[in-house]
Amino acid sequence: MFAIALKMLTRNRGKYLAIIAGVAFASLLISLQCSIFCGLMRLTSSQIRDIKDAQIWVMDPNIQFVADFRPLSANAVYQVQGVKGVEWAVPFYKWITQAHMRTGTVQDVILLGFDDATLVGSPREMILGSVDDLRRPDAVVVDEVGFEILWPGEQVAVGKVFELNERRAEVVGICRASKTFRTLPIVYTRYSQATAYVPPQRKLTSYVLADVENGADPTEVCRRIQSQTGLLALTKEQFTWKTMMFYVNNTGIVANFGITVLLGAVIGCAVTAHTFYSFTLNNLPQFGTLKAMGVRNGRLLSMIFSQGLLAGTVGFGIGLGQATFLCEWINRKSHLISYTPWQVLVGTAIAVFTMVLAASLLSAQRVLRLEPALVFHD
Amino acid sequence: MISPRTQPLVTCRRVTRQYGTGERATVALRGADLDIHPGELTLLVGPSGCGKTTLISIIAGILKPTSGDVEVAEENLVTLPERSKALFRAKNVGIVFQHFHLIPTLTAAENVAVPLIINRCSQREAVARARDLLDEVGLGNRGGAFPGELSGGQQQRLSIARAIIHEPRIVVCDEPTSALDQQTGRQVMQLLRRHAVRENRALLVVTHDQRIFEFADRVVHLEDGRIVRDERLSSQSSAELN
Repeated sequence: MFAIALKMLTRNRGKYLAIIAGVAFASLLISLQCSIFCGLMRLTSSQIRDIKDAQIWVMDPNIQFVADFRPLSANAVYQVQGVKGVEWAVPFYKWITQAHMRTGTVQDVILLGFDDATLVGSPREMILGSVDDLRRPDAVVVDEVGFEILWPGEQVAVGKVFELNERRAEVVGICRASKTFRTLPIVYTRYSQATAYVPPQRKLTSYVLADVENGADPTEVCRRIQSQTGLLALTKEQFTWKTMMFYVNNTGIVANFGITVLLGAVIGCAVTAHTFYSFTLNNLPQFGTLKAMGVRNGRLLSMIFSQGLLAGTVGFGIGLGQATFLCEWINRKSHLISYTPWQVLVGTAIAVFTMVLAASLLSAQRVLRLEPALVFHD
Repeated sequence: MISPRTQPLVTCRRVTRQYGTGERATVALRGADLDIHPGELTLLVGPSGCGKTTLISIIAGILKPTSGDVEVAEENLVTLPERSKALFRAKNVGIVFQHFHLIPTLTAAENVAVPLIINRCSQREAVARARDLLDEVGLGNRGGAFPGELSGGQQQRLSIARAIIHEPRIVVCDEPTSALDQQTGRQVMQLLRRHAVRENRALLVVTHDQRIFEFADRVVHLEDGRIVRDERLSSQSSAELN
């Protein structure tokens, strides 16, 4: 009977395409919105992920997210170095300052300063120049997207000069970095150089970056750092989540995206349920005939569910394909970024198949209540 | 034709059927008694609303009588549970509808194969047997056509093939010739007689169409929910039509 059910569905081209379009639309809306939301959340923590060398971030206990500035004293590095299980610890500087361009324009930039000796935290993916060039005086590296903001319309090139706090900065390299939440240019330089670019301050270390000895558990080492230094120590993953949760709890992003996802799901549900229901209604005479011919309710139900399952699977596949294409396009062509973890795929699948199941159940009600004797009365 | 003295295939006793309740109640059958013997082609005739369709629905096991007893092919349909009744219908009953009720998205061969598939025959074997039967009903070259591509007469022949492919004990037909011209109507009745009236099977036809009376062994007249006349026609004339 499954073959009959599937032929009843697929050979009714108009209805079949309409049902698939409905499911695909719902899948597209849900997965795309969720992916953009996840992408946006990832933007908030992109600087944490970009620093590959360190497993542990140590910071002021009151810091709530990565863009929060609460500097530490220089001693913090030595305190962390002394904790059992820590392989090494280096200072890391982060500040938002203003770049004064030769054209007279001023642009906010994120200034990152990493350890002079080890260069831990320096950019990994260089497009032009080399990280070692940063050892030259006044040398900075700018990210590719930032370069376009600082010198709009110009080809990326080294040798460009601008000022940070009235001090000369020369671009010696261009790197690729993850987009940031505020889409500001990122300027990388050595720690000593970075601290020279900002007004004198008593405390100059934004974070201490650390790594653990071979075989040590980073979470356990974090706990030790916290108990011995009184500072907040988080693994990279923990700090990423803390930052994302700050945005979730303190901005309207979740509510806004939640409403859009919900609307998409509701519209998709309504379209799919209505189309599938009307498809079953159109087929009521056929189901009535089958019932009169001796098909039991259980087999009729399995026919309806197999139709729903096929339409759901094909529609979900198409919707997901469209979402993947659009996500790729968004990542390449816009300032937005999308990210699709497996949880989005599973969540979308659950939402879509629940919707199809509900539509099937709704349709099945009519078929189950159908009096087979009615087939003699039309 | 088999002698009426054989054990009846269908036995209806004091069968009543009421639709609705209270003031809106409509009584379709008022104590109908009817025996149908194997090998008989019985016509059920009468004015509209006299209970013909209700009676064949009850005999086919798709409608419960309000009271009375109905036994078909040694099964008491009044006491048979719904699930078993569906199995009973799948095995023992063939139905030809006035408006054919073919599944428009299945080909002719697939439509005919449906009763076999319901009875757990494999799709491939069912379609192969359906194609053989389509040959016999003169639609051998139309097995791949969809019902919408066939004429009314062809659709009715298809519907008959679907009703008989699983060799049911009883075939019930609701106005099988009403939408057909005289010649096609005759062809359809000949086909029904040839395939559905056998030693252990019977054919029950509801009709208004007097042109097909000559094919019947027996004509049962209903009026106002009661059987008012039961005519047995000459066995000679109907036998000649076989």
